[in-house]
Amino acid sequence: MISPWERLKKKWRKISETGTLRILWITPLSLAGFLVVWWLFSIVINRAYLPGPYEVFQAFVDSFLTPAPSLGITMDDNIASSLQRFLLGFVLAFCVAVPLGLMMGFFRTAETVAKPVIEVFRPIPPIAWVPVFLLIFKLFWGPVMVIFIGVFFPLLSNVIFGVKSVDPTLIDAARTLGADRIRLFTKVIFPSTVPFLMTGITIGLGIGWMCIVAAEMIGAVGGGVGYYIYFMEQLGKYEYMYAGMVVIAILGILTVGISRYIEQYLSRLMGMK
Amino acid sequence: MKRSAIYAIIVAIIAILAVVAAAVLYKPAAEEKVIYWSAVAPANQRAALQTNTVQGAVSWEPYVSDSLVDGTANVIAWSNDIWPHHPCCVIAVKTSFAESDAAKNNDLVARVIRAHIDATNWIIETIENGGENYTKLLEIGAEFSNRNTTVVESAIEHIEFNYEITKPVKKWFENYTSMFADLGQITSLSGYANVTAFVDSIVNTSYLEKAMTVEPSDTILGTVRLGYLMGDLHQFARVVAANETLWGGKTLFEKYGVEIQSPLPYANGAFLMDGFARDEIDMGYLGSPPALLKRINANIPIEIVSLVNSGGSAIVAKAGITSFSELNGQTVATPGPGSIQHLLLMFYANEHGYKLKLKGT
Repeated sequence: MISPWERLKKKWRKISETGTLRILWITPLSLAGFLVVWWLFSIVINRAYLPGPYEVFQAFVDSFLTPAPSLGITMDDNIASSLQRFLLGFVLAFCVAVPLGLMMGFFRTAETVAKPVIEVFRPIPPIAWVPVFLLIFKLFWGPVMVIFIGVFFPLLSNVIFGVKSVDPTLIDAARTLGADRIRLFTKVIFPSTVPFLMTGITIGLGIGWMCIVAAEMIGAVGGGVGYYIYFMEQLGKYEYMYAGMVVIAILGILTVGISRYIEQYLSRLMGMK
Repeated sequence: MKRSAIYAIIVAIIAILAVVAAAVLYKPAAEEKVIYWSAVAPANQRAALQTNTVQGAVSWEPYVSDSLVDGTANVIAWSNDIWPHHPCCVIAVKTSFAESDAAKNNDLVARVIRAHIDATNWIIETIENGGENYTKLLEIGAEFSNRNTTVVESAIEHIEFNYEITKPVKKWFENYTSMFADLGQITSLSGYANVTAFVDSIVNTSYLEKAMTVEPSDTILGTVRLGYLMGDLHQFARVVAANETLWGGKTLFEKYGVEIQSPLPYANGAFLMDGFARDEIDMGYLGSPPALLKRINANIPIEIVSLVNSGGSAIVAKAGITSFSELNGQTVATPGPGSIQHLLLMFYANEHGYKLKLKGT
């Protein structure tokens, strides 16, 4: 029987060995260092467009308490609007990219047919679609579709890569054991693709948040953090603009963090890590 | 992969889909007497009207005439009918430019303004007199704005070109500042006792006075980096002053001894103000609201040294809608809350007993 003291020591040793301890003290130090450099820069440069961390923190708090001028809504409303269109864009991209990626990875003909079109569209940055999406998809769906474009391609690439990375021995083994095409797909290929899919989701989520300002510049139905950032820049209220950027950063870290956690969990489950 | 994990993923996806669908489908009952606004760049407003993305729009020229000439929209109210002779675009100068190398730059600013005055007077006379010059004016406007001459003719019909900063003009600047303060877009007067003191500090008419005394110069006396807005016909005087064919082979700016260097045109006045902050330009043609807003909120040190135009904006509604009341519960595109056009729409809506609300709130 191990005493609680021994157990604690063992845990501590594990934390030390895995480098978690290093992360635990380096992360706050790194962030504190960044804040100090930012603060010093804001003092040296002394311009309205580079407020210090404290001014931005005040604006951050205020943005949740006081409705934004003319928009009449607080930051939580903006977050709700952004999350809504972000989730819609993401879910749409997921629903299209995953089946398409599976098909393109599995069936050579599907890949031959779809690849030229996809390769034409892939390099076009989501922001280039902004004006035309406003007209095609209108004020609500226009920004959603910009997010869609941002998330779609990394997701698609990873799913295709996932299908192609399935160990041929596994496929042969399944075939030898009498698996038909459908069973091969559902029992071997799709499960093996899941970790790659999760990597695609993580990358897609990051790019999706990068698109939010561009997406929301074309329409502000119900506001949005991206529109808030743009609007505050236009007014010259830079501390509020930075507060909006901090909100996007937090939302990005949260969503990507959750996705990474699921990705690692699934990888462990699949025996890939 | 464990079956339970797959089920968990499927359930999670369905749950996300359900939440998103509920959020999209849930629409609160429309309130009475509300006009919704959404920010749509003026350049996209005609297409937004054509696709019924919005049912109304408010902007400046030539974007108003873009929609009028081809029958996409009709005018609900011209800005001059709502606010007679309200000032719109102005010329601003970066204070540090005007004050550095004081005598020389001071003189250069006055010379740029003199060219602006001569061009403005020429436009006013040409519109009055018609003839060959009028055709030429329309052609120059068409080339600059990338429109046809019909759109340009329609546009200049409702713009009042002028340069003087009179007492009523300053009063209007005070009104704009007060409106922005009431809306919370200006939170602090940053040490100014009141809006009058602020406007007094930002408006400098001395260059206009000095401009009347400057003489043409055979040599180039200096260079001014001059910013302006993309395709904006309110700023026609700059285009006319920069035209070489009208003034015997050199521009009006050159006639007064100034070489003009312009960066690519800015999309709006707020971005032009950023150009001042980046030290990209010394002077600029822009709307008065961004000059007022960014001067006070972002402390970008500029002075308003000349007026450019009054009026020239309008509230329009897509073809078929002929009265403002028909826009009840509909969406009107505005360039954004920091613009005269947005203030105009808000004022007009309030006058007619409507509340102006952000679309989707």
